[in-house]
Amino acid sequence: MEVDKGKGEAEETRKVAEADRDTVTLKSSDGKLFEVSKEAAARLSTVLAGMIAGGSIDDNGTDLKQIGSEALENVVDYCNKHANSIPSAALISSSISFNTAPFKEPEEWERKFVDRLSHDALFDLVEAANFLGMERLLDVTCHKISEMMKGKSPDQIREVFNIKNDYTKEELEEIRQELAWAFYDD
Amino acid sequence: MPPPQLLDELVEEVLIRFPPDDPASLLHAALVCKRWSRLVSARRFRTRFRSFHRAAPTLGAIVNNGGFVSMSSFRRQVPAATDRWCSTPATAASSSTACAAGPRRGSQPSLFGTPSPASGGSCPGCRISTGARAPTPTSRCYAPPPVATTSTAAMAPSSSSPWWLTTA
Repeated sequence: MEVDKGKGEAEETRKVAEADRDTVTLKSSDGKLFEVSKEAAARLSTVLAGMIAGGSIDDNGTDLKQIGSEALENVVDYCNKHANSIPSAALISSSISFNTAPFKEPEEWERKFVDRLSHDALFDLVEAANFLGMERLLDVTCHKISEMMKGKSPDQIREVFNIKNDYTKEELEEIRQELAWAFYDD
Repeated sequence: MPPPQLLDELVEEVLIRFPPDDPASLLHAALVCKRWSRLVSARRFRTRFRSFHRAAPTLGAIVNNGGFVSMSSFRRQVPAATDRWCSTPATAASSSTACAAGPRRGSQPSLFGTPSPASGGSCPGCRISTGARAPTPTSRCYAPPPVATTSTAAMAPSSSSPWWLTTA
């Protein structure tokens, strides 16, 4: 009995040690903890890759104060589920510079991943992807937002994106007359 | 709670992904607010847009026999009488020359201006002057073969005479 207990404890310790090796724990701004595979995190996020390489990963949860729990959950979900089908972020950034990297259309699962998100969640995820240097996730989320703007008038875009119109009526009318071709409703 | 506003750099990331075959969408974005207008007008944005899509935003092409072939949502606004491109002589030809840049401020509303006898040998849309050599009544404007793309990317037009404006 005693022996069994000791064996169980040893097993537990081994598991924890193994978990420490394979995953990193991330802490959202509101204190929630998320585990993500170390390999996936390093492959998909240049920032996390740097933190892992630099040894600044905290076993009790690496603080990511800029990212809320919902966004971090989506990030972790994206990493854990789909890491294997995505080329390494480090590989991409080392071979091609960010500005000239050719854009690859989002794949079906990536579309589904962003389509299910609410407006706010999508915006939070864009910011999280940007903060963590997740190039592909940034690509996919920005692509989704640009699709949301497609065919919309300036008024409609302002409404969706909660932007205040700082043009005067006269300025808008002048531009509208000058560039009448660009207005679908003309 | 209203959705949060995106940082400038993220707005740029989004706008850079606008389809290059729909230049009007970029203009719509510029009309959202002055901040966005500054973003899409910046040289940095135009350079990135071109390299991202490997192309400039394209309105369409001018072909030798087919006139203007639209490759985007752009619809030319030219009266039916001048349907055939640049087939009218002299001033009409010069003023309806397809131009690569947007119209000058205060010029006619359409990108491709309707013939204006007062234009005096310069294209109202693109500020291309035909120079001292005023077009003769037999002047014709020939489209450059095979295609000349017209772009909204506010390219600086050449100050010399357009090479396709030749005297027959």
